[in-house]
Amino acid sequence: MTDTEWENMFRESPSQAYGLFIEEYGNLIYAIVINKIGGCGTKEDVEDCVSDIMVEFFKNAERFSADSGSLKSYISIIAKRRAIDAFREITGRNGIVYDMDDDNIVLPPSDNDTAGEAEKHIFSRELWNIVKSLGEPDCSIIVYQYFYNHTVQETAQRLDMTSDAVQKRSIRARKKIGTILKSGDYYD
Amino acid sequence: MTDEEKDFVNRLKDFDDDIVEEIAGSYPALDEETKERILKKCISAYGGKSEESGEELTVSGTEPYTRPKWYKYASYVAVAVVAVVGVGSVAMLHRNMNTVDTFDMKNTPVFTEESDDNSTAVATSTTAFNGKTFEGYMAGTAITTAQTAEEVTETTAESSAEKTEKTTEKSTEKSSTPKRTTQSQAETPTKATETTLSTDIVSTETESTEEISIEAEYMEMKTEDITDEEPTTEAVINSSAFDSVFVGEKWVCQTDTGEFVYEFYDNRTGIFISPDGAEVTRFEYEFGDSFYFVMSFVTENGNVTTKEGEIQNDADKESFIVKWNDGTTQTFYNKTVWAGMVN
Repeated sequence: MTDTEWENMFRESPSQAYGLFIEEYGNLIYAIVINKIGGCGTKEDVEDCVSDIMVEFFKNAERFSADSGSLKSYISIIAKRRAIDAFREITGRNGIVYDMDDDNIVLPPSDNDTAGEAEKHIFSRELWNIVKSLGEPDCSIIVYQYFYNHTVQETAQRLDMTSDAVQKRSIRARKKIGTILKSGDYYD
Repeated sequence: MTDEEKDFVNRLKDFDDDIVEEIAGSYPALDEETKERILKKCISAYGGKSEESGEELTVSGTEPYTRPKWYKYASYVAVAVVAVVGVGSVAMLHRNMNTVDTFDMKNTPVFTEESDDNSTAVATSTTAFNGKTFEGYMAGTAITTAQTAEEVTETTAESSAEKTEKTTEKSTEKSSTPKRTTQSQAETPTKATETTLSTDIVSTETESTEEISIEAEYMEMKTEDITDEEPTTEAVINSSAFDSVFVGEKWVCQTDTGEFVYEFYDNRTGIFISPDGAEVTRFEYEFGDSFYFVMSFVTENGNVTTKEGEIQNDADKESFIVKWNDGTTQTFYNKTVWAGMVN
């Protein structure tokens, strides 16, 4: 469905558009949100944030115009902004004080540190290439288990595998990635 | 998990946008159950209606609040009570106000000054009190009465000119000396806690035969409780005898030229007004004259409390002090009238 068709559907049949919208862009929004708050929020927090993003979009759906940009970009901007808000809200609610030097903490990207951002982009891309190089189903296991924070059982159910198989493959995949990262071969 | 693995796991949660987009497309995380849950949250937050299910989303575990029926009847009763109390209050107020003194509106207070040859204008005061009317005579007398509970209405209906041959003769003889012709009637409040007596003293130019000028200047004399032993410059009747039954006042002024009485009573006391029955007695005096005052206060029951004394000092423009026989003194202020008289 093109953006123009989306625009018309939001205007003419918003309720139907909502259902289709979740089907089409739900995963993207969910991925963006969990990328931002997956390290500090619960699964409910993620779902609430996704819901808030959709509500915000629905409320302003009539303002969307296909001429002003793609719907995916429009949704991504809303999702990232709301996810960052949710990150601040969750950390404030939990009274978490993050040490900025702690590498284990994932913070929203900063627009000020250009060099650092560039380096992070490069590493992020290389890491993703390493994960993809594992091949299936290891790549899927890593993504669902460590990106989406699914449990072994959930991952196994989704991939139609046993939990033990998922667990063993996950361990082997982590070691393999760790070895690659340690050797530094991924920069080549 | 090694450090490299931990670092890798943490890095996985911070992918770039394009990678996230790729992951979302290649590895969808939302199953149907999660989608439905999110959609319900959206609709609940958005306040919309799920057309897919065709049912309006409702919450469970709650019941719509219904106001108890007796609230309605209790409201009716409350309104009725308020209405009855309001009407009753108005009725009681109306009823009570009918018992309070009222002005005779037909007799609008009017001071008229009629001039006559060699005469002093005398205003007649008609006072209605508790439905009764009594008259007093004033020579340009204004009485201000403060009462706590009841109102005393005063209506001055007319002024009459009074000729006094005696006054004329004396005035002629003492044409070069300022003379004072004083007629005073003190109105008597019944339930007064404080009485202020304002007296106009009329200045008569006795030598002029055609015109009489009445200088209606006010002298405020505040009488003090006669039982008060302390000299005071402001007298307030605070004796219990006067709290509710003070209905009259009588002054007897004895001078070198004789005794003059001017008094004023509520006719309920049955006491005559002035020695000669109805007329106001005027008296004259000059500076240096000695006066002997007998001030009598008459209660509602006819009891008379008398206090005698004489002016301790020479009367001047401002005030004079009466020294009573019981040793106390009382100052009567004469703020304006005497000055006018002298001038």
